[in-house]
Amino acid sequence: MKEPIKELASVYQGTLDCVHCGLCLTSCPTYLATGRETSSPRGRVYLMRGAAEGRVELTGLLAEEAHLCLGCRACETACPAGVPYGAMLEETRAVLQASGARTSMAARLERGLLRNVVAHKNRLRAVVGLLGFAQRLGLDRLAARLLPASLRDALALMPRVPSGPDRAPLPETTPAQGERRGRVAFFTGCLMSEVFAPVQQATVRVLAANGFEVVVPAGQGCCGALHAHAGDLEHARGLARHNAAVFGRDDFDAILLDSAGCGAAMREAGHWIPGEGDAMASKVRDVCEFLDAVGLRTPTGRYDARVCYDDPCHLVHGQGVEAAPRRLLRQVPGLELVAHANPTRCCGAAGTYNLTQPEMSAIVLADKMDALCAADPEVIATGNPGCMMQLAKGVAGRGARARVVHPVEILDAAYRTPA
Amino acid sequence: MSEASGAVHSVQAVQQELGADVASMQAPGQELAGQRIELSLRPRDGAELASCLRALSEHEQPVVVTGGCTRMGLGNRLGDVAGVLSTERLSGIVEFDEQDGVLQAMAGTRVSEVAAAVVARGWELPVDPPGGTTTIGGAIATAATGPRRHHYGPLRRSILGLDVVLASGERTRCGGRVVKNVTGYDLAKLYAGSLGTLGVIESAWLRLRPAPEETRTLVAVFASDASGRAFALGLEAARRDSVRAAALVSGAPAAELGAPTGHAAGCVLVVECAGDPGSVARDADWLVAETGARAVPEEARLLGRLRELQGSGRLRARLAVLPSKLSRTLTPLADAGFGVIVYPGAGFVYAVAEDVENAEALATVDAVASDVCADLLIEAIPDEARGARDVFGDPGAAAPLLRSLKERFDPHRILNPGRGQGFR
Amino acid sequence: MSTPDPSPHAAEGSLPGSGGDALAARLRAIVGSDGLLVRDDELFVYECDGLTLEACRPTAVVLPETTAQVAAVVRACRAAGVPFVPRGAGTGLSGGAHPVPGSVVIECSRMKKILAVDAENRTAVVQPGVVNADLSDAIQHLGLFYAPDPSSQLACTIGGNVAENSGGPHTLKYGATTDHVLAVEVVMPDGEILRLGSPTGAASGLDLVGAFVGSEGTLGIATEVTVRLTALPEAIETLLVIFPDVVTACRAVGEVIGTGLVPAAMEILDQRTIAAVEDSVYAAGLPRDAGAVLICELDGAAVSLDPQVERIREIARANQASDVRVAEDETQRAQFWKARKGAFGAMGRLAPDLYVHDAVVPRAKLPEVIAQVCEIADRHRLRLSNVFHAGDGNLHPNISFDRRDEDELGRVIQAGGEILAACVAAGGVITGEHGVGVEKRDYLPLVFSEADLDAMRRLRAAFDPDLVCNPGKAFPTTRFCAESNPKARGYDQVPFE
Repeated sequence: MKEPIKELASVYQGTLDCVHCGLCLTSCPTYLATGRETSSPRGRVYLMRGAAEGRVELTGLLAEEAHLCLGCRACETACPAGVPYGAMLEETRAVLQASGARTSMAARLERGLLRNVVAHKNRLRAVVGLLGFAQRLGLDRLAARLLPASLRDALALMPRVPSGPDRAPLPETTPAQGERRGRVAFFTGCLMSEVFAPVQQATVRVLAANGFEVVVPAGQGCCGALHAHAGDLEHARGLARHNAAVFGRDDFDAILLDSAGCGAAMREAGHWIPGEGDAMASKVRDVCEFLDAVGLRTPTGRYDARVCYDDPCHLVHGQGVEAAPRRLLRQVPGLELVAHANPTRCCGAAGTYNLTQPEMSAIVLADKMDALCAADPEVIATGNPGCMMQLAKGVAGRGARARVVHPVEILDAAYRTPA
Repeated sequence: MSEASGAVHSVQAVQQELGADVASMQAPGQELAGQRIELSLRPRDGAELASCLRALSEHEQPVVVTGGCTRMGLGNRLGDVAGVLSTERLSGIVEFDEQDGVLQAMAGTRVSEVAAAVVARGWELPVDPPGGTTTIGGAIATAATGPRRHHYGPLRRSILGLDVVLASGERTRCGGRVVKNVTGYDLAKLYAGSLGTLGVIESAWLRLRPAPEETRTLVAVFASDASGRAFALGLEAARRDSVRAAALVSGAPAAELGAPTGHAAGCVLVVECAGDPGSVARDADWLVAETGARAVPEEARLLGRLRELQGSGRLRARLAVLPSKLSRTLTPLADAGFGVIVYPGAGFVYAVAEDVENAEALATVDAVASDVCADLLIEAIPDEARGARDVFGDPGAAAPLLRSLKERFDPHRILNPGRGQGFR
Repeated sequence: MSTPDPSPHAAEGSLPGSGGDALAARLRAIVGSDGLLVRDDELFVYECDGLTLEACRPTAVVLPETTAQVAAVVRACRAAGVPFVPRGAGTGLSGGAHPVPGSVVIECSRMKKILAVDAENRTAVVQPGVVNADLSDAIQHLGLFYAPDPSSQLACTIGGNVAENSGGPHTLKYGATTDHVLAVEVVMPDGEILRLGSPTGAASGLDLVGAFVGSEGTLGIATEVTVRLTALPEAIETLLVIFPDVVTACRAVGEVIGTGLVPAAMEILDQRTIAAVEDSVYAAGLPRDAGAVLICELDGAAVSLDPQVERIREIARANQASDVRVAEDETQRAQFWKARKGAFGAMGRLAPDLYVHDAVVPRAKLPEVIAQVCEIADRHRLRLSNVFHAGDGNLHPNISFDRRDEDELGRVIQAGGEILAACVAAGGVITGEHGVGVEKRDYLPLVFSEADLDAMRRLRAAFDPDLVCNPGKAFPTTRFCAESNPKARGYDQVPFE
């Protein structure tokens, strides 16, 4: 028996769980879009095994497919054998990165941005502030004309950046309202805390309204999800180590997030940094999952709207949270929750995917928008910043009426609006 | 060698090869299906059947293959044959697995005999063709069907395996005795309904159905065709699961089933409910309430009479029609004077006539079939009209494929020459 | 994009070495660059389907979108003298979609339109790449479903189902694919387009649709399929019956059949299968300590179900069942079925490889055959699990193994042959729903004589006289016989040997 290539040893172990049954095929957006086995989870696992066995080139089709894959992990939800596809993909990307297989201009720019801006709170804050300033002056549209296509798309995706005061940092401690039910830490993340500051403020208010003291530990950093997805596992591990230290300083009932992508990454911390990451990972919960588990205090007000809930991949496939957000929304007086055809299929945002694979991202988004438009909601709720941006872009593209919000924003409104 | 003298010589050679136990020369002037018959072959087992076919192939002597001789009018006009090959002595139930509900019968066994044998043990044979002497092999070769098709579906669904002797004399098997099987090509489907043109069935494994705990036959008389149709065509949508057979009969045959005379436009609905007592009672009561139907005792053999009507008529056409087109099919046929028997659940319409002028009647049937995109099968037609058309309809682009099949299964054209679609 | 490299795979001159480029150009002109795969690592991914024991890279893969493109591709292959292999989702377990040396794979996954649904007449017209479950999903709001439900229905295609005459748990009551296909548009092996059958399901003349369905892609390529739709039953009851072991469960199933009940489905899972499923995303709360469970589904008129449930309870009790649970709601029912249908994939947890057998025996023989099968596996020191369509007598003895262990692989092959022989000896057959493909082709002589196979070859020759359409499948290879060793059967292409 030949030994598999050393760098791919753990990927190879994962491929052995796949019996080639094909139940993953139709969960995969890129397979649905192309009809190619090569662009399916089963095909990619086969390529990984082939590369590990030295039967196909590491830097050929596998490299292309590793990046065409959205990393939505819907295949994991479909896989009866429990093939750890997401982890295998991250490792494959890391090996490719290390081998220098991916050196396109966009890739280098992405990696640079992720390492040098996103991972540093103050730098990110400065960049986002600048962007908001440009948006208000209309300079972004001018700049768009001068930028390469991929960055132009990035700009188009950006929501209106809240003005400075709205992006004010969250208080380090927010007291519980009513009967105190516990004390939780809130992980704010990078992009979320800047561009989606109002969502985070809503999250803190909703938690407080439910009787929880909310602590935002100082010094917390980026979760590393985007870096891992881009194949920069080494940097992601460093970020995880930092966060494990920050959140390990105090004993919280739970570590909560309102960004599905960050949540899935934080839960992987045990896998990235075995031992030190486990303690943190075991406490990580999505805010909706947590509220559903402890029992939501019935909102005092109303939210009169027809709402579609769309599952972020990293919540439903990455964390297995599907029913909780729906149960919360159903408890909101006045809210009509309507189903749509494909709630658990990726919207095409997938971290930085909409920038690196704009064509495929557009195809995947078009499918999503077909399903959403058919249900014709007034509001689309989804719990991940990337998805919120992507769906907002999709709504605008279709000229649809829906607003895209985070589920906690609906809860927050229902607590604050009089009945 | 002239054809005539050669034929005589070879027929005798076949007879001598096979011996008097199996083969006998016929008295001059014997006819079957409009053809003169010189030789009669009556094999007693599969080996003898194989010998017969081997000899016929070798001497290139065509035969007409028969079972119970109930449906000799089916198919295109028979070409010249030297004799008849009868399966009637290939008789008997070979094996009956009562626990599994499957059975193997020789081709010449009568359907009625098998049906009686299995009912006694709590099972039911899922085919109810017309004709008291119909054999298992004949029913399969003609894809026979009856009023209970509503529930049973086509017979081919219940055929698990066939032993078939090819024209070459090779004894072959397809399928098996188990109820689910994709081992090898599904040749049984090809043989079923092939009118003995591709091979001769020696025996069959059939899947039985559990006999119903309770059966009730009801008959309803409608004063007008329109009201009868409206009800009968809505039966399927009414989701009455216990309905095993349903037939709407109008025109001359209706009178025979007891439609009051003088009711020229009246029609009769015959329904058989079968199954567990709960659903039979529920559905029968519903029928009584909706239509004023009355229960008919079993001794009245109502379904039997219905089958006889289905097989009657000097001219008889079967139209397979989509449910949505049924209503539109019936009016012009009735207007043209046909007796009409409809099995709405199966989508089958039988148009039967004894005394209509043929050319005109056929033209009506053709026009209706084309209007409703029906699959038309002319089941009975006076001999003078038979040769003028393909009773199965024009095979169109499939003609080369059909010819090729015949060529490969029966290269010497010894089996029912001329009978099949596109074989003329 | 590189041109195809025919040299490593072309055997016996089946692909003209100098013609490869010309064929690629012609195929590209038909389906466009986007619809043609010729790079070596692309072809690598297509080297097998759900059967991974054997593998062979094709010369090219094309992804047509229309019937006209399929016909043009077939004609191009004919002109180049190259065989072609139709493929759906590649979930088949007998290797029906395995490429043969020098072949072009015609992948139908882009032909996935539901062309028409006629609710009144309960028919639908679909392209071959429509996924089985997607069809039922699309018509559910009309109160209809498509009855054949292979366990791979979330991924497998109608075209593939037609080729294999696929069954599934509900075949017991509703029949297999052949009972639900009314008409087929076929691209014949010569590139002509032919329509077989009729939407009424009662075309006059020979039943060419019946002959085509289950022909494993050897008679032509279905490019449009008209299927019968079935009304959703008024009521459904799904029971989970807990047995001490597989043999008692089988005995109960035989008794249910023998008393004349016709459940919609009767499925047995043994203890090892239960454990694998309960560890997976399809966990349904099946009792891990049960020796076997029977999923028994009854459907039909609401009024007739209660007495049937009672009868099943009685039979279960009489056969040592410890518990009978009735699914409380649609969610629980769906869980039971997901557990059943995810079972095969869940076996990936037990070992890297899985050999899924598929044999049928008379239902009354189930208990004794199951005992024999277990004995065979034990004797060969193999890990066996059973999950099967008990109501049909359709066994799926699954052997978990690691193909990298050459000795174990040999025992797997040996045991497989013995299992099939035992089933045939009991009056059974060697495949009930997976097809012969490449996997079972050399076992066919266990069931059929040379004359039987010759009759089948006549049908084949009428459709495909030059044997270019999915050659090498469904018939014994002339080179090898059933007794030959694993390597001679092509297993030498397994890596790591």
